[in-house]
Amino acid sequence: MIRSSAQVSILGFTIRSLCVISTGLSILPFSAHSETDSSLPVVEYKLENGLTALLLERHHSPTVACQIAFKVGSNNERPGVTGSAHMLEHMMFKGTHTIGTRDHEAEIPIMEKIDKLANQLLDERLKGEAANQEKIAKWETEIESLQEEQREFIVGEELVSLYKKQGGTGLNAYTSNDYTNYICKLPANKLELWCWLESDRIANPVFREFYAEKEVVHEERRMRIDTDPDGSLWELFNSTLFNAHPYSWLTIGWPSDIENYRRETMEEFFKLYYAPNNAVIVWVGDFDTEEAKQLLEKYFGSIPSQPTPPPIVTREPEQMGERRATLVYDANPSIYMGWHTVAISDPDLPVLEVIEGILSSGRTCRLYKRMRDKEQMVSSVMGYSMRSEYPGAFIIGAEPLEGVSIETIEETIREEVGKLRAETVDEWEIQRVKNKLQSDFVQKLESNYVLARDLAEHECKSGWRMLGKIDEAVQQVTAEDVQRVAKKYMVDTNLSVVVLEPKDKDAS
Amino acid sequence: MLPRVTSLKRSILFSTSNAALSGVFILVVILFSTTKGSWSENWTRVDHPKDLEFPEQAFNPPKPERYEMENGMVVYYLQDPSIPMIRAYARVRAGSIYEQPNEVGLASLTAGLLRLGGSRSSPAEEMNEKLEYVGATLESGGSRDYSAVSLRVLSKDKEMGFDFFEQILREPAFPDDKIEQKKGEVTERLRRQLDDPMEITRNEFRKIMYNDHPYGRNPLGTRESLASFQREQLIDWHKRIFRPNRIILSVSGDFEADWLKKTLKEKFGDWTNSDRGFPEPEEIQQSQIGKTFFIEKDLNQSTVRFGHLGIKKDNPDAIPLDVLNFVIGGGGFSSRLVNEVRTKGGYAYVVASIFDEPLLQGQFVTILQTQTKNTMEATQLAQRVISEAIEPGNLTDEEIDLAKESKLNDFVFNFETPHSVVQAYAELEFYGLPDNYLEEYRENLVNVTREDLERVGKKYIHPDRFSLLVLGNSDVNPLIDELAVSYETLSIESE
Repeated sequence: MIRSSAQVSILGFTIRSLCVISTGLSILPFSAHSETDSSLPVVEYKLENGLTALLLERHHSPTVACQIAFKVGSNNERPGVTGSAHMLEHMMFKGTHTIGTRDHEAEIPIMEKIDKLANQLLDERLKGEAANQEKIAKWETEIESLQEEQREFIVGEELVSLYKKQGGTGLNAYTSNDYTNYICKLPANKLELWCWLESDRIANPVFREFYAEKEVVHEERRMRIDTDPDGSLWELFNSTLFNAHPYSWLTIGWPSDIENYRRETMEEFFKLYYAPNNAVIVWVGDFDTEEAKQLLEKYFGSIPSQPTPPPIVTREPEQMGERRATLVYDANPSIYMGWHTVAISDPDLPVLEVIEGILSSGRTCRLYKRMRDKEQMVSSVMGYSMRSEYPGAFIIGAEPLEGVSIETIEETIREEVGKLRAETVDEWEIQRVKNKLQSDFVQKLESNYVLARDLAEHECKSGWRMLGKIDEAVQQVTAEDVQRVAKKYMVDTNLSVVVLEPKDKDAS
Repeated sequence: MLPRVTSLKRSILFSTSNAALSGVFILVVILFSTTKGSWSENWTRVDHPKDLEFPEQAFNPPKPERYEMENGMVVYYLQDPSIPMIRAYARVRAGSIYEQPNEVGLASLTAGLLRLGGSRSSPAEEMNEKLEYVGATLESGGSRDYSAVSLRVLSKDKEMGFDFFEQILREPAFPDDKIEQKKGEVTERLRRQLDDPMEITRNEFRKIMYNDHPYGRNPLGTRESLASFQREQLIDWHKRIFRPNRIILSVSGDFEADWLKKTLKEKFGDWTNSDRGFPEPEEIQQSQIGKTFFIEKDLNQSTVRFGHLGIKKDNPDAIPLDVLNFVIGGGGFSSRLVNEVRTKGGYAYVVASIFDEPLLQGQFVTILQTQTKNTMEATQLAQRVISEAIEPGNLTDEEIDLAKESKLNDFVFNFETPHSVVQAYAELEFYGLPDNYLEEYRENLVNVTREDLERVGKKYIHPDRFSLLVLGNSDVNPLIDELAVSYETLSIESE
């Protein structure tokens, strides 16, 4: 399937990291991902240490969606440590001085020994051919037995179990390029539990079981990217589209970087970014705002703020000509095409979202009508305008039916994008998109979780009020805007194309 | 942008006074992890969250109304004027379990075409334009146990929404060009399922479990069956199977009860019920027991499934079994499988055990994905975890408690939205569970004992009868050989 959902809900239980591609860069299963109204009665409350809380009371069910998001993602990484933000997200479930342990004091010396050996081992492995395999084997055995020793003191997955026991559901976290979010739904009378556990893991985290978790993350990469043709193509697409900006690597990170993670790197990352002044708490549901403020003050108020993290300075230079790349893989063909666009706060963004609707939402959009209904050339086709903190892209992906060449698909998409530049669109098409986005907003009101996620996401990217601003701006978009924006961004010199070419089995 | 600027200013302001201190402090916490900082001495919290006391919370879940129309159509509804929207969902006993061997894929194709093909009075294009202009969605589809049509519409557009809802249920058009489109797209999906190790093993494991039974077939059909279907077969299937006495409708949202009853009577009141030509689903035969199968695919991670047949949805032991499986591998991070295979072993990102509980007998299946070299080690570890968990006396009180408390406390999330409430009740009736099931669920859960868990473990979980399916690259074969297990290699290209 074209990148629609990286969630592993098929297993019937939530998996910690729907991370990576599921947010930020991906084509979401729903094409419009926005539209809160600025009139939502959100209360913004600021603690002295810089922590922002967004509180939205809703009393239709005795439950609350709770989230805490940090303004850190794969954007804050550099080559060599890609995937660190995501690895750190995994480590945040490993407990604290109190949680996940029977005796933290006793663990400390063991962990120090493990770290020392693990670093020696990584250094040795990096020697490549010259590495001393005997030493490596010896250290591996020693690490294994030290880990066994530490397990005496570990209470496995205690954080999650404490939540579950009290009825917590949807316990999860995800890392995107722009931010990291820890999510949970609780019965309304259990909010103090959330405060206790979340403040504790910011104040007193312990990254135990680090080396086993590295393997888990590597398995996650194998599942999402290596063994998934679409994941592999998506990775190639991003590194083709972005040359300079960190959007060029996926949140999961490159395999060699994952293998070389060190615990101290995660601790540095944590120290820089997991500060109250770099975080936002969002509660949506059945609580009293004044009581909420008191609880938050009690648990989070005394956590010290930290220096403002260093800014991300790299900007993607202007693309000076079409780019192409090919992935040869034992799977059926597919294609991604992308044009550089703008950041979330740019006034052209709402226009791009209308273009997304015209091209790709529902059964009356242009790509569906032509490519599925009329000419029956694809089994799926989707367009998506990124809503990202830094300049993103407009992306189209498609999967051809058997017997239809990928060239035909590409040509057809080029024609449809060309029409947006050459002709003004019908008023009806624009109005349909606007009406759909309004209806989607009403639908979102059903879910505390979705409202909380939108607030957290927008607060991290550009301030939560941007939700309402984009919503209002979309309603003002005209046919002329659509043509102007298509001409400005969706041109061939600004285009990247990647294609999955099936491996020729007879030749291999 | 205003709050953002303010927040930056404030954080600079507050961090300057604390900057040096906080930096050092955090360093101390992380590197030495022993010293307690001065600020946390002011932290007036209990030492451990286990000691927290929570306020009482009354739990009065809403209950939907139920009535039955004269033609047998059952309606559940729940009003909620707080959001100007209505959802309707028709669950029809029209799943692929009713297909004959020459009809594989017909249930799903027909269900998909209800919406895709439009109705006799409203061609698909017209319906698409009208619905999408008001931001409404109307969808249809089929699965093994049932087919369904779902509507989401703003309450101001409810008349139009229910018009189309009725039309596609009662008088779908099945135009030839749309049938061809759907056949092409489904055929493509079959082809692309072979690119996905999860899909391949899901389909192949079902064949191992159910042989020729409809549960063992791909509900999408096969390339050949799809090519063979004629328009008349779809019309005939719809006429025989889609009858009001086979439909449970659930409606929630912003409407008046009188309006709903009147509308449903107008639209569905003259639809006659009939059981003529309606087939009984086949009996499930014994599956392949204790065998090992291998599928070769050149990937760096193996996908493993093992298990045997399980239970139906209406099994009276479902609640204790659910508690037991929470401990084994259904409770996510709180389960033994995740703790042993993932957290401690680092073998897998995905590992879980599932009782799937459908209308007919389901499966008990464990799934995991791990890098090639660990394939059999991880598999054996997972099997050992299950065997140990069902040994009498092996479960701890803590585990049992956690599983029960968790299910008890998160029960409230079944009632989060009016839609989830009507759906929950409609589902009970569909699966033949008593209508007081939800009311009594909590009490039944509380009453589950260790003896119950040991009894159901012995009765429903048999590690010696697990069949095993491994998908992986050619380096996996010697790993299976090492265990001196004979296995059959399955080919997936032939379909």
